[in-house]
Amino acid sequence: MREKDEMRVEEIGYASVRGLLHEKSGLPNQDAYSVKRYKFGTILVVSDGLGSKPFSAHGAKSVGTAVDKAVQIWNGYKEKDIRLLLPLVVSIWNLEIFPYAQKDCCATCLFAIVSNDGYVYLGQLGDGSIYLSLDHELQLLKEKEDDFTNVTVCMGSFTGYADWSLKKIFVGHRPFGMVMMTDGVSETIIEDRREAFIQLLYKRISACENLSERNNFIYQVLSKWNPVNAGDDRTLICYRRR
Amino acid sequence: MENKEFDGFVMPEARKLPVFLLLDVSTSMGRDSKMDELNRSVREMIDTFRKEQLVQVEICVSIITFGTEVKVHTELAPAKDINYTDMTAKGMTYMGRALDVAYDMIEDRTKVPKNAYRPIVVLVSDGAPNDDHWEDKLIKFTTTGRSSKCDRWSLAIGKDADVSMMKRFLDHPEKEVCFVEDAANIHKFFRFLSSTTIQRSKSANPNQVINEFFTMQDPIDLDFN
Repeated sequence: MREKDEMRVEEIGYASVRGLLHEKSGLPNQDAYSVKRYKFGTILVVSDGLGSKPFSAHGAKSVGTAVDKAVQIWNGYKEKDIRLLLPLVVSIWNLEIFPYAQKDCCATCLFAIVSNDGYVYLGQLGDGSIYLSLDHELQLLKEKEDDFTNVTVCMGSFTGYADWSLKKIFVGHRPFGMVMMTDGVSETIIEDRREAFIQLLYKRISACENLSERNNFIYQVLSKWNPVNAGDDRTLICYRRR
Repeated sequence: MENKEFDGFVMPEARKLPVFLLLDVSTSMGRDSKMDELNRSVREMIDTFRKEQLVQVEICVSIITFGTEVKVHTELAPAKDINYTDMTAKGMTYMGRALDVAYDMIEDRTKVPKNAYRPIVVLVSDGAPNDDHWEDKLIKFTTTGRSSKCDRWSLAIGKDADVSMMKRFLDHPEKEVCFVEDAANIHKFFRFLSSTTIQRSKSANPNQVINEFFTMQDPIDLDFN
């Protein structure tokens, strides 16, 4: 996906691969992603279904649909308070997962909306990471806690909107980049090498000719993950605006 | 794509699944072959972990012993690297201090990294704690910090064991204290523990403590109190 809009060029690549532990257990890839481009902007979503829940793959897929539909409704209103988007996302997700119970469809929700009004809206519920690079600075939406102490925060189990990490950032027409990843990626990258990893992704994404090349490139990166840390499903969206 | 250029970004070691054993080595454990049997059982468990060919999970074990002296018998290390030496029984039952030592180890992110899987903590005793403030230390261990999120088990050996105290150590209301009447059955508990640990390490989500474990009905002739 490479779109020119006046001065801007958007480059996006994305892929998801099944974890080795899921392969061994005969489970499907329980991660999901969604990338949609509209006149008002671009919506990016990644979601990680909780491995222990019977319909978490369906829950994760429904997260992408729910965010997409919710943003289209939310965008129709003048007031762009990101907090007002959340009840819509949750309600539509509940409709999407029906007839299954919330507890059986637990999944994380990480979204980014690149709006043509010059703002980027970020939201995260549960594990994973969203990095945003702007003006040579790398920002992380949510700092990770211990993996084993926060396993239950996800769609279907969250207790309030305080569980969400939210951010609205003005980017105007400046170039910027984002990398969104499920925890199968974010928790297995060496901590002090994360920035270098992201910069290399941007560089390689920009060198690709088209969407197919970019997606294939991301797929290759995720597929060739060090096997000792490839147990979990891995999903990544790399976005760059130049 | 140059395949190797991304190799250096991913952690080269598998994620740890830590197992902490808090073992009573007070004088009473030296009677009726209990200590001999405990040594055999722990050694067998470590051997079982060592033999498992796990790629994505590294089972690590630490042993903290408590008599009058509280000692880190084995620092947290991959099971395959542990050279086990037998424990000896001596002194009182200073369990509260052992809980403090374990608490600090679990809090230490250089030992239990942020991406470690939920640790398993096992308390084994044939008696009751008799150090000062053990109750406060038990409350601290079970309700605060990272230890409060651990998968906690306890084994009571013989009729003098303080089962109600050991019940408070557990992390789930439906879990029960495992009870063995005498030394001869200690190994059954450790085989059960080895089996559940390996099941977790091979599951799609090793962080998840499988609910069936709480309600398992006498799976290996253990008594649950």
